[in-house]
Amino acid sequence: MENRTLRGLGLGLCLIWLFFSFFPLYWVFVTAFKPPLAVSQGATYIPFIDFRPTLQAFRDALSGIRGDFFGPIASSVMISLVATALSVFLGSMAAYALVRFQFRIRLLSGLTFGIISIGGFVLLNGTFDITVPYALLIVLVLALVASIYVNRLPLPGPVLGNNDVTFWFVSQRMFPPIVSAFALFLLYAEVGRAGLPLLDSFLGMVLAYTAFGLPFAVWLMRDFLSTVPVEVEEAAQVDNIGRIRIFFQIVLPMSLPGLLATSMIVLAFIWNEFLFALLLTTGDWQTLPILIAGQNSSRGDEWWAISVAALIAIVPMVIVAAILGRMMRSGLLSGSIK
Amino acid sequence: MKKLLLTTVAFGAMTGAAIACEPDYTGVTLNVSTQNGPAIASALAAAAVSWEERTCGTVNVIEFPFGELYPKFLTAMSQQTGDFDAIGFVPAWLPDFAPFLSTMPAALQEGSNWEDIHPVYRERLMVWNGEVKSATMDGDMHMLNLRADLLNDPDEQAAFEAEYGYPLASPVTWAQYYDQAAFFHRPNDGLFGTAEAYRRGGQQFWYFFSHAASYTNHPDNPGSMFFDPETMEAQINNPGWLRALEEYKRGLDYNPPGALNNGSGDVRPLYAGGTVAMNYDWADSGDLGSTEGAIEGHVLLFIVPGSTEIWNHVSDQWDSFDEVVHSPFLAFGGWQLAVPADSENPEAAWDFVAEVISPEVSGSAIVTANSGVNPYRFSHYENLENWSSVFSEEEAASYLGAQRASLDAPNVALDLRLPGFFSYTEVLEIELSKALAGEVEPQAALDAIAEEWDALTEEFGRDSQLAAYRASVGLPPM
Repeated sequence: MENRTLRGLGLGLCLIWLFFSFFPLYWVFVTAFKPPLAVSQGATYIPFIDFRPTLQAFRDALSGIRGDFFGPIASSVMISLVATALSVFLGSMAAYALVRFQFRIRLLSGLTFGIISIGGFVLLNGTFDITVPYALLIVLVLALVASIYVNRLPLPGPVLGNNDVTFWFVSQRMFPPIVSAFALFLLYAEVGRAGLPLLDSFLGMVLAYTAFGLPFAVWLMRDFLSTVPVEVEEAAQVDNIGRIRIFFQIVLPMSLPGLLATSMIVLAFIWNEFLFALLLTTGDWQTLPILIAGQNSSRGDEWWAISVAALIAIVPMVIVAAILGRMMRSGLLSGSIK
Repeated sequence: MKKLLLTTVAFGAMTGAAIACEPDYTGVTLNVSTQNGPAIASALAAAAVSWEERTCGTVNVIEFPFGELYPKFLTAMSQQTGDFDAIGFVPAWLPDFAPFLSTMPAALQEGSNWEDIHPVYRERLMVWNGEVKSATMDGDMHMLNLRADLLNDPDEQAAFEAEYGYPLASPVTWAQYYDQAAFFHRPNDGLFGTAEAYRRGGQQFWYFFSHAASYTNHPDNPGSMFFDPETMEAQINNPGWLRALEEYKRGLDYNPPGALNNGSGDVRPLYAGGTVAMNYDWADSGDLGSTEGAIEGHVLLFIVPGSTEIWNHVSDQWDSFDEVVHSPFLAFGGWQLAVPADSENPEAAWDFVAEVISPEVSGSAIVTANSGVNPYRFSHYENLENWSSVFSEEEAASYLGAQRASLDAPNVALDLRLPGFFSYTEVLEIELSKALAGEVEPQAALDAIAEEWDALTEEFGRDSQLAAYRASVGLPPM
């Protein structure tokens, strides 16, 4: 009796939670079918009873008078898929290194990198008038070489370990995005002047979003990869299998659920990202979040149009999530850890 | 023979191309940017079609969210990325954009097409520091929207006159406006007196400015509505502004419930759906009412109310006038087009601007649904038949009459245009919302705004702000 009461209570709470979770979606869905007057003259809930549904908002959206929807959808799909794949791929490799190798980075080595890169840039750009992209390239290479060399010296001071490196990755996402977004815009503008157009380009957006997604990928994959038994890799090493092969043919397949989960999370972040897209694109590679935000115009909140845009934006993510979710449950994971 | 035929065909094609492309911008692609459509962007797209046919050039209309247009344009122009050949923006941003914009070619500043633009736009809003930096492509102002079904109802007329002692007609003062709002405020019948925007971020301050213009835009002290044009001292806490705020707040009593959450997008369907007896708004309320609303055929537009008393900041007293002085407020001021100085195709870009604002193309845009373009040329007011797709004949007459009367009013009030516009209006909205919510007294809110505005003026540089303000109101440099 007590169990049945608890079960009923749990079911009731779940249903309430379900209602709260689904109501916003339902609201967006029905609003997309409302005429303007039905939106602004008090709440209406049920089509054909409370209001007469119309497809006008969908017609407006798909006809292009509210902006080109197809271009941004295509841009979003291409950029987010490629950037997600790159982020997860590079992030997995970085995470694997953080799980399997011990890094020791002297603080003085890091300081050397900072001093050479900043001081060198000021010198090259300010004194010798070398343009920003070339000055950056030169000082970053020099600073990297110098800091690696300094790291090998028996210098005093703190030594940073793997946890510090992981924190450094994650810290990239801690400061407000505008800090890096605007800096990236300036950098891209300078690189464009030097002859490589990155603003409003596929390459520029993929590079930006790969950097954007990398911290998430490293952070999440580090946890997933740490669950892979090291004995399996040791057994492979006994058979004289190289580290690269071990990573691609043993570790990654065993971490497939983690790869998929990480991909979904990184994809969602990139798919919904607004600020980078706003600053770094104009007409050719504008992404969906810009278009959705644009439905709120100088004429006020046109909720019917915003709802249609939101529905259109949700659909690709629902499809991707469904496919990845299915993959996670399917036999594709037969090689993964049970 | 074959060679002759080919030569003939090629010559014919070349001649045809020469005739078709005037001027010839073959191979030129213009990137023209503004807010997401349909408003304004669709008008640019329509003009692009005719421009492409005439010049053989190509136009990309690039759309961004309205809220992001200002930083997007400013960053692109200041970094000289050359992203845009023409930009559609609002006059309030012109002070910040002007250093990065090219000047309209002299050839466009003459002739009948130029003279056809109303002087309020041609001589004031399009000009910065004596140079024409932009071209108006949309005329915007607040107008009073009434309902003919209520105003012309004999029973309502008799009842109103019996209660207030004067005939029911278009209110010419704000006192009459509130009389009518109170008279028609019948919540039990589902009818409310009026609808105004009060929500922060919902364009509330423009509605407040419309009230304030009537009490602060003194005809003898031009340019003194927002700041003292001699000292740049903020005027927003003077008794004229206080009266405006008290009246604006009083309007809450006659608005539908929850009015503090209403933005401009909400007041339109309230009027068009017949929920309120009137409102004041840009042309959108009238358009919506006559095309999709429950009050179709009953839309009546008038110039916004005025006042017989205006605060004189020089003599520090109220000045009385024998006749009502109308100070219609050109809220927002309409959309403008300009050509950034870093455009690679300035000549073609200005040619496109000329196409957009030409009497033919703009004349079509003003009567196209959802174009967001409102009249700004004398010729736009001439042909009532053009408006048959939007308004009935009576509605069109009142719509155009209200627009023209507002523009022609000798004491027309221009919107605030100043470097740092967003900083000033952000402060304004914060304190205004507190006053409307009853968290602070109106005078205290206005004092706080004035203090912040003066601090901002110091921050931006008092001398440069003063020079900019004087330029914005058409006063000569000091």
